[in-house]
Amino acid sequence: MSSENNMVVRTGPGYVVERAAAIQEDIPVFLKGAKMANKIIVLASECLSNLALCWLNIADSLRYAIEVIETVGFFNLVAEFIIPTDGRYFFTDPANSAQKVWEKVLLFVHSSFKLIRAISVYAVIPMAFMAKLAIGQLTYFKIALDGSYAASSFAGVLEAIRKLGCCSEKTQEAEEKIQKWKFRPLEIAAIRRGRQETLDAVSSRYVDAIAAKTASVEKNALAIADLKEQMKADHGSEEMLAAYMAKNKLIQNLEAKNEEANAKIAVLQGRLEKIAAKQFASLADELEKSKDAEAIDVKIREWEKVIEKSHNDRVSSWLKIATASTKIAVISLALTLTAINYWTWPFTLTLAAGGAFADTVGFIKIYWDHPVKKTAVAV
Amino acid sequence: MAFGTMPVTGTIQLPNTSSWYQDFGDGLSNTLHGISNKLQQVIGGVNNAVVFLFSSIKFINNDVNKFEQCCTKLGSYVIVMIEQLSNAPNYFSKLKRVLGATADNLNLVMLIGSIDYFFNARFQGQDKLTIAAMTTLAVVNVGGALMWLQQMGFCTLSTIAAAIGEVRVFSFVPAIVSNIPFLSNYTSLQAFAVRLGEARIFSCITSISIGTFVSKTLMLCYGFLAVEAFTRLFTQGETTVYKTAAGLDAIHYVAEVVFGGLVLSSAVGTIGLGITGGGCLFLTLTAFIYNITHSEELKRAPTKEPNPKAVEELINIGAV
Repeated sequence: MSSENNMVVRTGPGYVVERAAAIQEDIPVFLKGAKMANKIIVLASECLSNLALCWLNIADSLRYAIEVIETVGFFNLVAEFIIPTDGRYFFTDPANSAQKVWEKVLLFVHSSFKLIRAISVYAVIPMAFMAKLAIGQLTYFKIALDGSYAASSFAGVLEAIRKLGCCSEKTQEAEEKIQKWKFRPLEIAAIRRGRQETLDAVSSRYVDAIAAKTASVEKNALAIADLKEQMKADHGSEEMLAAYMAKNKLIQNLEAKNEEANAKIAVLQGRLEKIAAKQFASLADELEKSKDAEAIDVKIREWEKVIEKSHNDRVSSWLKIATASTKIAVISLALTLTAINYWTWPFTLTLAAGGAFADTVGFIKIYWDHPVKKTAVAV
Repeated sequence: MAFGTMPVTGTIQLPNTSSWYQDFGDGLSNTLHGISNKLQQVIGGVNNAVVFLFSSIKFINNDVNKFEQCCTKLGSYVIVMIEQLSNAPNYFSKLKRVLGATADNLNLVMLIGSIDYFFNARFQGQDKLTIAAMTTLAVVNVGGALMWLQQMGFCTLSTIAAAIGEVRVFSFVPAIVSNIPFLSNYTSLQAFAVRLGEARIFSCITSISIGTFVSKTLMLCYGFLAVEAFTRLFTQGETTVYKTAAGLDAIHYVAEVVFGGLVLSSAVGTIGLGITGGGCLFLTLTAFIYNITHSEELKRAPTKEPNPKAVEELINIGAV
């Protein structure tokens, strides 16, 4: 509010209120306002009465599509279980944690129930006996159907929490590596001078790296032995031979990795020996020769990419936690309301809002994870 | 000699006479071994078939276009045929309804793909036939979206068509002609101007069914794609995988054109449409699975032989 020649000039919300108050000062203003409100309300009611039906039609149509796609999702899960990826089956792949395995297994249970329900509802197979057996007790069937989904979501939350931990570790490691590469010229100069703190830090880092690489080599050696055992079973037909070759390729990759790790261990041990023998200048020369400025830049960029990916994974994990937790809450509430048979509008509205929230966050997660495709439209 | 003091050097010589139980034992052992081998082969074959089946289903489930085609062909033709054959009309009415709804929704989102194709100029580097096919496909998708809007109750296409058909494009002509002094004296010109002003050039729209229009445009799209596939098939110096993929594509596009013709002409009944629709779907999925399973070979740079004419020209100008 400001004062100018004894006139008060209002600004912001005060101005809006002052203008709105004009409606009670003058009949023509009121008349215009009333006419406008009347027309808008009539228009809105006419539009909405038609649109409400249209939106309900769309919702029904989408529900049918969701039912079909979720039902055939059963086959996708079976395919995931029985088809090996890079020569490894889902249940034997060490990359899959126990949480992930449980999530998928419970989702499989849920999908199986859904398939049975779909067969029953759409009368694909006449199944009087099975219907009596499996879905005759509808309440129990619904509890099993929704309960398995809630349990799968719970395992999904645990998996997302585990992934968050992994992301933090990766980010920390990448940040340390970036620091290491950024300060490498200074570090080499300090080593050349024989600065004790730097030498201690470098020695400690080398010891840690040797331990980590040795553990990795041992793990890979076990995986190679396991794959070789599996390969013994793969013989006979051409397809089996193809599986054999895929595993062979995997073994070759692992062996190459082990070879590289062993070479690195040897280099690090050599450097530790130089530190022990106080050959600081020689070590500094070796470090200078091992990576030039350009190679260091490349290394830093690589680790920055790791941080970026880790950040994306972290966001994805949080979105998964939000979706899965909301789903668990919604399913628990729905089951409780079914059990006590108390369906009032606040609960119905809460369920609808919770479901909408969970699915919206799920949609955002899918878009977050989805890579951008650069291909043409396929027919 | 006691048994414990028997010399253990040398080998035990079995008598060279075979008795019936030895023959039987050997035979049984051989038979069991053979059965075991066969069983192992059969189990391996079944295992491979199951893996192939499920991986194919997974590929189809993850592809919007193929999933939509499955829903359309199964829901509209194959299931109707089964109902007819089992003499149980509308037994699968619920299943048909959900499959139809799924196909409609998937069709609608494919419109976004068409918009992306033109908006982000994805046609760059593609041949003319593919661009023509994609253009007709975009028209099909727009038509499908309009039909979906009508189905949901948002608009009535016949009312829109009638409104467009009512439009008089040259309604301004009589007024202009009558206001030009020296032209106003010609009576016949005035009459012509009036007739032109009354003309409704979009009136034909009211007699066109958008469903038929969409079906015919889709046939045209498949026609373009079939020609494109045949061009690939007859390209010289390509690999067997490339030619097989092109051949399968050509067969499935031709089948789609034939099927579209049968649907539009009503030449065959429900059972005929069910059989041809199912066959068409089988060919589509076969071509799709072949393309997916051989994607690595197909992605490699084409090994086309250089055009002899172009080589000759290059030699003539001294470039080679």
